[in-house]
Amino acid sequence: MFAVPFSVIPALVLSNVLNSKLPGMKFYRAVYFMPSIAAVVGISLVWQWLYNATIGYINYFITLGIEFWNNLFNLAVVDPKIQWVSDEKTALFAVIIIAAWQTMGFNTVLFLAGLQNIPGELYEAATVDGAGPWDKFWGITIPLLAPTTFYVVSTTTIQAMQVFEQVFILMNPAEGPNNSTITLVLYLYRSGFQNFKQGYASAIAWVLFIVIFGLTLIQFQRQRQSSIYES
Amino acid sequence: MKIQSYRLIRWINNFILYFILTFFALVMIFPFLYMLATSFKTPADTFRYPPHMLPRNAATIAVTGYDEPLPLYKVDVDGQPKEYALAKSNIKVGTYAPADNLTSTVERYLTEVKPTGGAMNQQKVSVNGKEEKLFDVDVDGKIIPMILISQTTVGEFIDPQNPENKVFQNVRLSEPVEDFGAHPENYTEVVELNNMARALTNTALVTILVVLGQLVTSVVGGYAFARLRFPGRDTVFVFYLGTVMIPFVMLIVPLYQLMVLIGWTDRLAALIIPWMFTAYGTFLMRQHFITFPKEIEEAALLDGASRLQILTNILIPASVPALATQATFTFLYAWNSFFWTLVIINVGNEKNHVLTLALNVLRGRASDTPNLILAGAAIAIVPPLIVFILGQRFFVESVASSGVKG
Repeated sequence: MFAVPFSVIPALVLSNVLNSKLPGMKFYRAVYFMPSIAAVVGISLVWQWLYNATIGYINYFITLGIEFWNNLFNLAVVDPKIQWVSDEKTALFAVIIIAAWQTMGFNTVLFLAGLQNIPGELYEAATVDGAGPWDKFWGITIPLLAPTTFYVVSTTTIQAMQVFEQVFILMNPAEGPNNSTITLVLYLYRSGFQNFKQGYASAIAWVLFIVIFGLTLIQFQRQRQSSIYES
Repeated sequence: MKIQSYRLIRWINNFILYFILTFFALVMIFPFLYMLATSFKTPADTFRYPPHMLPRNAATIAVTGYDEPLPLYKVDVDGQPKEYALAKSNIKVGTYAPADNLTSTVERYLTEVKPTGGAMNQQKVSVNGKEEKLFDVDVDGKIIPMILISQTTVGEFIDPQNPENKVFQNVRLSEPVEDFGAHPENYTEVVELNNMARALTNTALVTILVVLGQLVTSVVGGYAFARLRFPGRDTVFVFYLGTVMIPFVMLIVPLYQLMVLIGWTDRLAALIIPWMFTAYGTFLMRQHFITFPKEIEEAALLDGASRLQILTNILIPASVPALATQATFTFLYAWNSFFWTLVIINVGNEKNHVLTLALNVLRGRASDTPNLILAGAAIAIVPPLIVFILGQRFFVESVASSGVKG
């Protein structure tokens, strides 16, 4: 669930950049969309090797970055050599990165659609009134994008609550070190289909359902309000 | 002057924008590139540090006088880096020195040096209180008795153009020359090793049937809800649409028990039949058909066409983009689904595996060969990417509109 800000904030920035009518934007949009359509199982396998503590690219990039930094400022920062998936402290964060990476492009496209719905005259009027780009972003884009933002945040949250494949593939065992990456759906799977306590699993499903249903209801209500406001 | 600076600012602005975009594009695309590149590597190549992107091979070269191509290494010849072929390895070399002057050393092959006084009766000398064996070493034609100081193993490296030029150095410390070398046989290996072919056909079968099934049910259902009049139609529609609100995790336990009840556990049917009905798709098709002008249908009815004929001859051809969108979504969903298959298909029953399950098995079975695992991942990931590229126009736009209208 902590994946939400990591996914939504870059998506907001990217969509604003993509909204500039420069050539090649369709290409970038397609590239950003790629992670959200690939099989989660396959993606998680790829990331598992990227996270590998000794030969993985992520630690390699960190090492390169630290070396560069040390050379630049003559420091002696120690390379942490993070054990991404087997360390209790970073395991959840590793899952968050994958989830954010995967949903970011999808959210970017959603934001982009919201941005294109904002009438251009507002920006022109603001420019005439002497507003800078920063004022326009906070004064026009953010408030008018609020319905889209709400939709994006709530769908990403609903998705994040149902994370299963990433932890199941990435972690061994799937609960991660010291249960640090257990998710509701994983818990449901373990109790319902490995310990065959299906009643208990159904109870977990109900808890999840109530939360998701609540979020969806709020989302519907917000949407109705905003459409009344628009008309 | 002013226009000039305006242009400059705009140029810098665009440069920054493209920089941000490209940075994120690289972040997005890097795992895919890594997957493809690694899937063509040899296992040893994948475990190298520092990692490198492209698959590599140890380079070899054919040298006259040798039957097999020789491996190439980087060697130092008179201070110049050169690429020489390794002709012979495991050559034992000893460092010898006279007993009275240990600093003036010479290097000779062990095979060239004979023990002083013969092997049976080798002479010895005392150096620093220790007995050392003496050897006859040939120095500029003169035989000098010397003692063995140290012994190493070297390789004989020859110039591929001119095999007479030889250099001796330690093989293990020499850096091999590498060239680009892809190993597509990883794919055939992973397909054979893991019953992947069966999983691939199963996945394709399930996906195609689910896509077709969803299209048929949502077209027929959507048409009925849009055009036919029957008692309680709108109530039924609201209930049907209401099921969209129920997340999949809610259904999994009851659906599993239903499958147990009708004996479909561990059968591919359990992956197909429950997924052929889609409330959301039916809703979309209904909305689509409602906008279609009624007059055309009425004219067709008057001409004696049946409802089915209207559907196949008029409505379906007119709604290809909507159907394509739905087919793309369903394809991706069916192809990538994992949780339900994990629950319903027995892990031991490999003939009913789909790709995602096979990957899960492969992860445990081939954990020391990332090249094979990533080849398997590529088999699972590339077809959806192709479908995405083909259906991109429909797909991205429909996601965008779902965000605006909800």
